[in-house]
Amino acid sequence: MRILLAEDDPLLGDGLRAALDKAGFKVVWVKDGGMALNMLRTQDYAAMVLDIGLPAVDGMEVLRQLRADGNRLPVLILTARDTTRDKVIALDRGADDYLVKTAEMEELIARVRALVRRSANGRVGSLVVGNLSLNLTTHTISINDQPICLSTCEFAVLRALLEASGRVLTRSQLEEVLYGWKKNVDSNALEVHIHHLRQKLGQDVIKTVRGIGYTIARSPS
Amino acid sequence: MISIRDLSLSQRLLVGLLIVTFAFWAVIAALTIRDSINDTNEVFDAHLTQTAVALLSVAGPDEGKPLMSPGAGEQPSPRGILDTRSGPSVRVARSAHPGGSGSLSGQDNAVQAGGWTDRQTLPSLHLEYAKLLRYQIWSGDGRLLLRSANAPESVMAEHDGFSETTDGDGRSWRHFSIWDPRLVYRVQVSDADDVRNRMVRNVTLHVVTPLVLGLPVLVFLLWFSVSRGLDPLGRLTHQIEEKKPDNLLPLELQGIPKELRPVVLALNRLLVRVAHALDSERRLTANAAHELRTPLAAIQAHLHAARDADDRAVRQGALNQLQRSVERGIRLVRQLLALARLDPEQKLPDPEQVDIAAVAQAVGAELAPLALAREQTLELHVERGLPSVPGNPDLLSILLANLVDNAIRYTQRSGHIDVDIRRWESGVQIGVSDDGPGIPEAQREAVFERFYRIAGQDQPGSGLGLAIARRVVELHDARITIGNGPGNRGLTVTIFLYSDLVRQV
Repeated sequence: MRILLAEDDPLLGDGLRAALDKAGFKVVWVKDGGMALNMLRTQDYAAMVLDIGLPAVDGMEVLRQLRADGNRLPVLILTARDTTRDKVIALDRGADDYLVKTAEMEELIARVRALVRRSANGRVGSLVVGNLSLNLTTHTISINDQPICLSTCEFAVLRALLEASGRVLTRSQLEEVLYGWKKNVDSNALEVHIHHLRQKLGQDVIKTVRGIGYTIARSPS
Repeated sequence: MISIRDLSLSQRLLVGLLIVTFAFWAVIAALTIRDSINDTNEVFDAHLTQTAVALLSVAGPDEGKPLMSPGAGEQPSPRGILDTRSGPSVRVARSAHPGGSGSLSGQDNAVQAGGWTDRQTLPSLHLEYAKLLRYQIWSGDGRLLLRSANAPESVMAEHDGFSETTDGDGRSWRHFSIWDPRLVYRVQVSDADDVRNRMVRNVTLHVVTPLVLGLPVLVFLLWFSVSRGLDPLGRLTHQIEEKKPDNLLPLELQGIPKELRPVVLALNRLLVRVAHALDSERRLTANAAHELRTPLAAIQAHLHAARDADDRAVRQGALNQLQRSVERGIRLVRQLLALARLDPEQKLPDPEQVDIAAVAQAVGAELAPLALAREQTLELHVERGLPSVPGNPDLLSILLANLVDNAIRYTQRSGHIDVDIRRWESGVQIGVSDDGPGIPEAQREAVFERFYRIAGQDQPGSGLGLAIARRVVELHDARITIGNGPGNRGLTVTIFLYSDLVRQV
């Protein structure tokens, strides 16, 4: 999968390229906004990692032109600016994700993967975390290659947790996955789904953070 | 177009003073002129009346007798004083009264009129007035018995009493017409408005001339006193101009007029705040540079060790240390940024009603992986039906993240961290407890100082977490306390937030 990386700092760019390379992406690295726009016009990419403070044409302008051309390429903004305002502006202008520099490399790679997956809209095969494998095409799941049967709700919850593996999803985030924005859903419904998932997957896969939410470790031991 | 806003203070004052002074002058002048017009008219009207009465008494001095002229008995009296030059039956007086302004004392003058006028020279205004005063004496049956040389032969006034007409030359006349009590004679006296107008003009000129001539003097005097009055402003400007960023001492209050005092006081308060901000910024920069050296030096050292390591395990160990050093640097930078943002704030930015439970949940979700990696238990307990509190969600999130992060870092593996949110009498309290080593009582004040670190910590912190927490608490007018953790173990940091942001302290 080809990824366009637009980052002007040579040290950071080199590190990012190495890390993304290692994660199995084919990285095209450009150091200014003009080059980024050129590359976007000549080739297709699975996603772009974009720095805002680029020379010549800055990242926001690259993003604007990209969206103005009707290109729906998933874009992850990687920047040193960390206020809520900066994030809101970037997301409003068409960014798909936003990471502040000094984020861990693992998180960056996980997010790029998630972006690619989402944009592929289920076309891409499967999501593998540890011994769990989620087939996004057939909506089936297997543990150690043994298929398991899940309800639609259970599948949705598990998929969300797997996509965010290594992070904690709050109860409200998971309820949103289940019911959209509807408020006042049955407060026990989520617990019931988690309970069933644990029965099917084993007790240790999904961890509870009491009062906060649930998580699946990035590489369950 | 120049608007009043573009004018300088002295120009405004000057313009204002001039307008007021002139308005005042104009009103006074107008009143004076009006009064003088009234007075003039009254005097002249009185004069007309007197003249008419005098003529009447000449025409019929006694109640019974028809006319006058003492010792001239052959004709009915008027003829005795009439000049024959202008006609057989009507005599014309050559000139009117020498008395001019109201001293027309009847008989003598009128009687002698024919005699003395030729010989005597009258002062010009009197003469002028005399020319413009005319009279007629009519008999009861409408015959003109006597008239002055300038009087027409027709009836001058239709009505008795005062009336006004304009003659063929465009000259306005004021008439007074009167009958003797037995209606035998009718006397009509007129004078032209010219004289009255001239008098009014004279008075007007007397009033207005000094005003107009005094104008430049007045402008100068006003300008002078306005400039003098604004002198302190100039001195203050000079004082402020001399201020430099490295000299932010308060301005002198001596010699500052009362009106400028609030300005100077406000400016002094600002100067103090700026000096304070500048000072803390300098300190922060110096400290930051100093503190950043340590993680960078550690990175360099571990990098060196990793590169030179012959053994795979040694290299891995060095790399792990390298990663920790980098993380420490990252954390330090993040906290310095947070402080740099919080420091200049004078009051809470963008306050709103905050759902503390939601903020705590988000912070918990963010930091839980760190706790899980250390096999710690992180729990959040929220009392049901908690009210929202006024605050800034971003800052409260920074505050909580710092407290929870501290708790995770300073608590041993497999330890417990509890975040407990509940009501207290004036709002919501947030307690962050752990069963870690705690903070000795003697140091519980000092830990809020920037870059303060408890001796003997193996966990390399930045010494900024609690300083940031205290700053956020200050901005929320809230309270922060440090105590022992549950069961007298570990540490509990409690924040008391008020439901009412603007409260009496």
